[in-house]
Amino acid sequence: MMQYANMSNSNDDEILVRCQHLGKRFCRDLKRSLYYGVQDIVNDFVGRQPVGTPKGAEPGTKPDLRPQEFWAVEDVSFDVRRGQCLGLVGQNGAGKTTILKMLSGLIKPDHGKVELRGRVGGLIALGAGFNPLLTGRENVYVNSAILGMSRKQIDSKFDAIEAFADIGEFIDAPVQSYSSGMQVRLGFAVAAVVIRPDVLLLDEVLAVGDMGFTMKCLNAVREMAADSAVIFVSHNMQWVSTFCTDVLVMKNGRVAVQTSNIAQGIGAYMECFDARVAVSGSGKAVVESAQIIVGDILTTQQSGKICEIGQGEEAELLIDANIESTCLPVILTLYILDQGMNPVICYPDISNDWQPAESGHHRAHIRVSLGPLELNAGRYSFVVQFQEKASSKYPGRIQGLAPFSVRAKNLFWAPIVRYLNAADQTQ
Amino acid sequence: MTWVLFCRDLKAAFRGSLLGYVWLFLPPLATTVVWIILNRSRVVAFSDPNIPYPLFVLVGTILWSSFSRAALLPLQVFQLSKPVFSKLNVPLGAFLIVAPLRVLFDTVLYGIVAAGIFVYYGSEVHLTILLLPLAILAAVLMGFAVAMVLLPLSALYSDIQQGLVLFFSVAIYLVPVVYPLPKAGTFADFMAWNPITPVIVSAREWIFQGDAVGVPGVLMVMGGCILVIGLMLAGMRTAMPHVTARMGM
Repeated sequence: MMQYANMSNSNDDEILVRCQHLGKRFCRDLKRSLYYGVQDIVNDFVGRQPVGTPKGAEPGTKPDLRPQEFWAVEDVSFDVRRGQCLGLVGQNGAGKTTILKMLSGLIKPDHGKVELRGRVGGLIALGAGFNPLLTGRENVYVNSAILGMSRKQIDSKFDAIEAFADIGEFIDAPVQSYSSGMQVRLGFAVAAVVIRPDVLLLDEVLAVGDMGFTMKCLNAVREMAADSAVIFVSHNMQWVSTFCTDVLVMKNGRVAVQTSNIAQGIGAYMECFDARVAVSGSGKAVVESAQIIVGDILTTQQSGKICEIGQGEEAELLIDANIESTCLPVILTLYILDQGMNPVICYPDISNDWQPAESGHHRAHIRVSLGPLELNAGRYSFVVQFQEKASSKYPGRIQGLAPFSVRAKNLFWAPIVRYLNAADQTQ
Repeated sequence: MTWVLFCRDLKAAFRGSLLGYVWLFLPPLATTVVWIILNRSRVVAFSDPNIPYPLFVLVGTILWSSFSRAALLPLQVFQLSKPVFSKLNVPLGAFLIVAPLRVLFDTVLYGIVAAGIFVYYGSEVHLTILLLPLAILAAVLMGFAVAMVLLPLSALYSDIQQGLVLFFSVAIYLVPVVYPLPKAGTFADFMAWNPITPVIVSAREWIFQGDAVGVPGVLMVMGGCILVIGLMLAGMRTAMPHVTARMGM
């Protein structure tokens, strides 16, 4: 059954959001998608089951997919209670925003049901209805009206909004003269001051403004979230780890992991990102294997499992490579990349004794001491780069080697984590 | 909320211009001047000694443009507000009603210009001219009703809006806007069934002949339109989630 029911007086009166077997179909082909839209509208007017429901099936049976359709969200169930914050994480296109839209009632599930209690509000469309020609002040009134405020209510809250946005005299300038950061500040200020929901939906809203403003936003969201059920969509695991009481990891529209162990949830999220091996350069140097050694134990990479290193632990990397002799001698450089493919550590010019021979290939073998890996918790991989000493050409740069994850009890806001008191570092 | 949105659009429409609100008066003035010139040069043949031709056309044009704009503007407003609709659960009606309000507002301004022309011609008008707002309201309601019927499809396919623009550019000649109602023939039969016809014809009767005979017809048209608008607004509640689902993020 598709329905938005206000929950009846159940015993469990703290549950504000309940999703059961939520499913939504989308179509990749635009023309077909529009046609399905018309089909769905007509179907809904007549009051029939969703198109694709098997004939004679009971109400609420999961419908079949129409040609070229796929389940953008499939069989997702969760509850959120007052005071809880559910982190909805996953790669782009995993179905997070679709779930938020079903929760806010903007779109209807094709399968399953959503039950909500209380007012639903979100920091989603910041600055909805802003007109670039009007001043900030005028737009605050427009935006607040769209969010459901009366003129009197806005008058009484205007000072708070102005103070929150903190954009000075720009408040009386047309919004088109604002920087993008200022526009978002004003939009956030309106929403933060105006919205007081029971069910709070947050979609990647904190990634706005400068650091000072972000802190302000975090505080505002904390205040809002204290007495509501929160669904928090973010790609930023630091925020997820500071805010959320539960994590739901989505993968291709389905629930991959659902847990109240935040570290486990974040770990599962990071595993969604395969560090795929990518080779560039002339191809004259090839890495045959790269393995991590922790405490004299060679961590052979098993299928599906990646090597885990404790934060601050020492490790070594064992590289077997095959280099065309003509390229030698080479400068060997090693990088460690985080899951966003940003380099976090560089090991430049690692000394090696590979000498040029008459012809053929040189089987290069090296064991590199990496030192203590004081990395923030997360997923990493290596880049091995060879550069010919003579010509400065690159015979090979191999990315995504020996993926590993750093295990730690906390996530921090920096790539490198160094505990000054060793006793704090319990894993 | 409707009022706030109405003010926003009105303010924003002219803030970037030098002449500002003067623009509100220019279109009606321009069309009227064209018809005066055409009449002076006797390009159009019109034989009713009681009514100056420019005034005849003026009344027709005001009502027709109210109708056609009231049909097109809501569809445009919907398109422009899609970014809001796709992210926030807002009352759709409050956004759409801005469109007929704006058309009514413009028509009143048009009427003020027209009144000046009437004085200029020294035309004799009857007391039944006070019924004129009824005709204007009927024309706008009818346009809005057309828009509401087309909206579910128009929200998905851009064909509807484009087709409607094309249709109106032809349809102005299918209603007695620039010529009087023919007395007989298939064309006359067609026009008799065209719901905008009684509104335009009655309005002219009220102004120039002091004859209030068309009032029930106009009221009936209005009633029908209000019914359709109400039904479609309710229906959009059902249709909107499907439209949003196809709008993308």
